[in-house]
Amino acid sequence: MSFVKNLLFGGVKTSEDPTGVTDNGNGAQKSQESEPIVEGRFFPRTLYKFNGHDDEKIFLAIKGKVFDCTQGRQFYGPSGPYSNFAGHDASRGLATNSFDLDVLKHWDQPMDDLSGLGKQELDALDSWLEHFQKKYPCIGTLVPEPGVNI
Amino acid sequence: MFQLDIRLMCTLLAILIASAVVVTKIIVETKRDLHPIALSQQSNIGPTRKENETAIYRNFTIPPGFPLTTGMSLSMGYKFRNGNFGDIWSSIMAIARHNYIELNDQRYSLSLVNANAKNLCQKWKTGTKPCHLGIASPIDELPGFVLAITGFMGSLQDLVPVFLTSVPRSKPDLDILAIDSWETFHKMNGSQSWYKLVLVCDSTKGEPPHEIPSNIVTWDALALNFEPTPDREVSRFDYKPPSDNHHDSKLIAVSNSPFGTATSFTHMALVSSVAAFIKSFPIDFGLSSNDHLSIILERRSAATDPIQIFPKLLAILLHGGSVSILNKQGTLQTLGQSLNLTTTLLQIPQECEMLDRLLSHPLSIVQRIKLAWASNLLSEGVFSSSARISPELKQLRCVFLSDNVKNIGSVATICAPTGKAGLAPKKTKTTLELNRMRAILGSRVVRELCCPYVVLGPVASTNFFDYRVFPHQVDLKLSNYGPISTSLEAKLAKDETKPQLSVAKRQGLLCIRGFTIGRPVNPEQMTRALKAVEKFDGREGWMPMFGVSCLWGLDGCLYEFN
Repeated sequence: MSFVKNLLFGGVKTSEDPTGVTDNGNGAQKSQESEPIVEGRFFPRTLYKFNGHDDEKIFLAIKGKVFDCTQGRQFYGPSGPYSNFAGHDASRGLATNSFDLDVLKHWDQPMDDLSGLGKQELDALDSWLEHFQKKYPCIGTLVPEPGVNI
Repeated sequence: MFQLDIRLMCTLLAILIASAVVVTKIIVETKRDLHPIALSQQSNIGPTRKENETAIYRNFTIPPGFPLTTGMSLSMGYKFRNGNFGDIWSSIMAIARHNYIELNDQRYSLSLVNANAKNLCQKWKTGTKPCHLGIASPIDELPGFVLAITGFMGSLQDLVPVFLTSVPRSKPDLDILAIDSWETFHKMNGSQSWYKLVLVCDSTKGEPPHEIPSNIVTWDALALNFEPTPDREVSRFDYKPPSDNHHDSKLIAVSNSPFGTATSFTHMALVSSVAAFIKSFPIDFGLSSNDHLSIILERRSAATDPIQIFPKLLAILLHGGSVSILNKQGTLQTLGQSLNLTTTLLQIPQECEMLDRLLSHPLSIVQRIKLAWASNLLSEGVFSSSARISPELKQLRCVFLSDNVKNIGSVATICAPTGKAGLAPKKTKTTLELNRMRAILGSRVVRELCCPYVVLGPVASTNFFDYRVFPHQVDLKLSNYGPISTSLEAKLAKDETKPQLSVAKRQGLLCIRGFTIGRPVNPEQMTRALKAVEKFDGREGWMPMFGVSCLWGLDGCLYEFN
């Protein structure tokens, strides 16, 4: 309709403000939806929601480092072979080559200190860590939450 | 009866208006060059950000995890290599038949340029230590242009071209100096003895001295002047890359700025910039041998960095097209009169007087109606050339409007702007004016953000199909430069000198990383750069552009504060 109006009375169509300087409200709403996560410290509780289900993004932790694996959605996303690792500390699962959810600690449990793992398993975990460091951006560290994990 | 007529008339009118609305809506929707959704997502944005920084933004054509545009992707067996000037120039000469270089309305064959460059390269070959060639002669004249090509060609061996903004006043590390005329020679005040050779490019300007020193030579005495045929040896440039690709990382040129800084660029920076330019064209609008690029220079401007013209120039020649370089400062000619009639692409500085005259040209009533129609269509995303006013510009298909960052000096010297330098508002064209330009020229307009002396080629450029008109308040505060170039990635960092800018609102100091950025040459400047870079996450190679305050739009475009 604006096209006909502009055609008859002169003028041009003005696009929505994508910068937010005019504060029309739409921009702020869209901005909040796609706000990038600030890199930093994660607790098991805050990490959990990035499981590809509750939040589109997929984060997982290995040896205290949190990686953004959203690009590997086909592996770590819902219905992917490693979906149990998403939003969790995946260290023990990767070290023991087990995809079982019971192997992993839940967000309300004390954090996994990797006790009981043999040398071979720890070596395997180190090579997984190296693989993740090459492939995915490290976005922070996983620390225990006082009152929840310690 | 009368009542029936009114009802009939009203019904007919309603049907007419409704069908006009539907038809125009359908026409606008189907004729639109780019869907609004595509315009609202022009960058790939990193999912995370560091504290006091925004996320990392990349051009939408470079998905996360994929490498930036690093070169020409030439095949070497089963591997890819980036390439260098030798690859580009040998390909250019292999297809050079009817295309040419036009320098201030004088046409020269590429064979002539190639023969002269090869001849000078051979002459100045030392075989031992690097020979530094200072070029202080204008690039829009044959000697200056040939010397630039000679420098690039020779940089694969032992020549280092140094682009100068003026004749050095203190003794520089140069072996050869090319100056424009005898007039300049007389102003050298004896400094000609600093060089092994001083080349006077235009011996007709000014009077030669009574006794010409032995290290002074004129262009006429050096240049080959003949009409080469395409089959002759002089019309070829044979280049065989070394197996270890070490030529790709060699230094191609040094660019001296009027701010007292010198920046070196590698062959990889040049090929990355050429490749990024070629990739910037949408499908069906790519470069071809029919293209003719006209480059308008503002020679006296402090912002004129001669090396900046080469990425586009080489990309056009690589496709078999021709190039004109013009310096029309102070001329009263119109844009249509100045340009070669076959011009399809135009590179022009934003502050060019000719452009302003064309845009403020008085229009007849018919032209005004056409302009209103075209502007309206453009704002809806539909391109229309119906309001073109210069028939000479019929072939023109895209204008690259180059605009420099607000504080070139601060970026080049790696110092935060002080005093009034950082406060003076930037003069820029509004999106409405850009659409008027599109309508009047009958061509697409791409606005580029350039940073001469620091980055080779544009830092960011608007989409070929982006004709959006923003609210007036946005145009007052900001200038849209589209997504970042495909050979760079960028983020905005907290600027301590501008506390009013909020990183959470995607505002801050522009930091870039990529392959088209130059390196400071002077040790003092290098130390300052390393110090600055360290402050902005030095280990990851980000370069802060001091004084360049920007904002990321929700559309993924870069907006600089005016």
